[in-house]
Amino acid sequence: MKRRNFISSSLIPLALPKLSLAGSSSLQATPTIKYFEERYQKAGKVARSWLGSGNWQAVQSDITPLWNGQLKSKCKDDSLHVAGVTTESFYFCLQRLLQPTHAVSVEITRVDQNLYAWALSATNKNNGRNS
Amino acid sequence: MASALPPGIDEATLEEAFSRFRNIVGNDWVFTDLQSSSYKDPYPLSNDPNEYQPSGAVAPASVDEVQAIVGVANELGVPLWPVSRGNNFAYGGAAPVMSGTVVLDMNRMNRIIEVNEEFGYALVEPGVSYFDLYEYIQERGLKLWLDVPDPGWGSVMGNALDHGIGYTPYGDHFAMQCGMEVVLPTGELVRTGMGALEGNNTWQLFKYGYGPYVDGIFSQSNFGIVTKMGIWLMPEPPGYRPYMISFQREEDIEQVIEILRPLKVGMVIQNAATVRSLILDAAIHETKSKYYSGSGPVPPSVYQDIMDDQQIGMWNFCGALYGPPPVMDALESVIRDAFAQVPGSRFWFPEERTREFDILKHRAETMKGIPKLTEFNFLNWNGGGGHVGFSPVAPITGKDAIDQYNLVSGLLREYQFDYLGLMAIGWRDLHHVTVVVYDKNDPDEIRRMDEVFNILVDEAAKAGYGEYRTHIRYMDRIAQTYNWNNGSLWRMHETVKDALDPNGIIAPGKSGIWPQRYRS
Repeated sequence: MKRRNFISSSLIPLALPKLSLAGSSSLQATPTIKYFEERYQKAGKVARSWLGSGNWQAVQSDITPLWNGQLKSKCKDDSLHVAGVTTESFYFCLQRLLQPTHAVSVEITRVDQNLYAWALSATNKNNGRNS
Repeated sequence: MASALPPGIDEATLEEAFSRFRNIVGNDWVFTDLQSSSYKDPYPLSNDPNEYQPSGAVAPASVDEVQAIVGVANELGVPLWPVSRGNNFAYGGAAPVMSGTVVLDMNRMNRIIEVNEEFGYALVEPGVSYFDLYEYIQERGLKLWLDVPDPGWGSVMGNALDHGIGYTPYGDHFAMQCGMEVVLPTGELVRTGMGALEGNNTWQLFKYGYGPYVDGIFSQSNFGIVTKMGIWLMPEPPGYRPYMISFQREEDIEQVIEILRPLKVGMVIQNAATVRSLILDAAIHETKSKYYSGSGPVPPSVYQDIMDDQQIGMWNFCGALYGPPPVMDALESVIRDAFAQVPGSRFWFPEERTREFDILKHRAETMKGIPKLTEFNFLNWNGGGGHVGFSPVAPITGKDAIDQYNLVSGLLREYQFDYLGLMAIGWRDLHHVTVVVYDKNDPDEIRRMDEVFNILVDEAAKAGYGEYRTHIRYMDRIAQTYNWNNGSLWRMHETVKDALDPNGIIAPGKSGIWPQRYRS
């Protein structure tokens, strides 16, 4: 069986990221922002079954507008606890944007060919970067 | 505890190095637990977990700290792998060629030392990203534009040093570099060009200074650690008019490139323009499953559906006009007439595009120097997120373009990968950059990817094409294709390497250049 078919057919029930993993204290916080990929109905369904129905923001892969408009300033001096059911580029870019200034923990589960469920915690390093 | 040891270095020596690095930069900026760190290649091309593994990382905040780290490395023989921001994804990220090498992370050296609006330049440290510099310019209302590559988080300096390209008239980034400060492998600090003159006022204005022009030997090399670099910035033009021309047939690329050459060489086309393939453009805003649910590459029978859905062609030429409106009008007229010769071609302006998320609307921002991360959407095309760039250089001719397209797309199809390619038109050359996306979690895809990449390098070399830039895994192989006169150029590189870096501590294996201690 092709690996991708195996992934698609073996996802129910999903082992979605747990937000209170023993020994993973950085992911214990409840996500304050939650994103789902609006192009895929499945993303919304998985999102709601995972973390409830409230307060999900719809996105479409590209994190640039969110980063420039909201996230960059929000996490400048703070920790960030977010979760999502999105395509890969969204959480990958978020993780990489945060890594220079934050200690980042992320748990990821692949939902299907296009989607990933993930939970990310980032703690500001107070990093002493020059400015 | 470090996870990998450099050849010839025992654990105690490496631990001593880290201990002394901590004394230099502080405990918080030495990293030895790298299991899930950003210093690993996020898109590995090897199934061997022992390859390309750093033993740790050290992040200095100043030139003095860099010099002190280099001093320790020389004393103990510990190799360093300098990275500006470590975001050179598809080429290895921050990971070193040789396992055990310590990443020298320059990310904290992120000062924008000067931006000069009158002369149009910036002087920056390695950790300054395109996002940083753009924000600096916007906050101050300076009438300057950046030239950005696709990923806006990259280092302005690092991209230029790796011969990166962008999309404005300043798209050849290393050509726009002017003046460097470099920590040599011995720890000595030098400034190039006019920077060598005490009290000069032209370091970022005149590249060559007096005597040999040496800046080039610090690009794609391991001859020194660049700690400051000047980069020319484009004055904001009085007008800007982005456009796209779509072409309907695969074979059109031959005629398109023939039309492009005289327009580019004659500077009618002003910017570093690109012609992109159907799937590369389609993958920016959709995923493959929308169009095709089978395995392997998208079959030709699906192409028209994609073209119709996204208002794109088999090939899409994105360009822009810059200048006073009468100048743009004249240039536009010439360009329109030239490409109208291609049957089925269509000229677009952004306002004619009906999709909310549209390729020309996106590129219209890139071609005016707005840094973004949108291009990473193509990682989602297939799922699995891995990608690598294969980037041979060719003359700007139709025959070379179609030959390269047939060679690369044919081999990729044989190995069950889609062709996501672009032809970037330089001053006289065509960079044919193919992004191959694969599932980074699938060992079989990684194996096939690696196999076809090696074949591509060899087949391209047989046809006279060499890559301008590559992933760490292929640096040796590609260096070996530059073999005129029995490899005399790389022997010269080794001579320079041994002279400047007698202990072989800076980036062993970078661009296929190995110091004497590792050559055997």
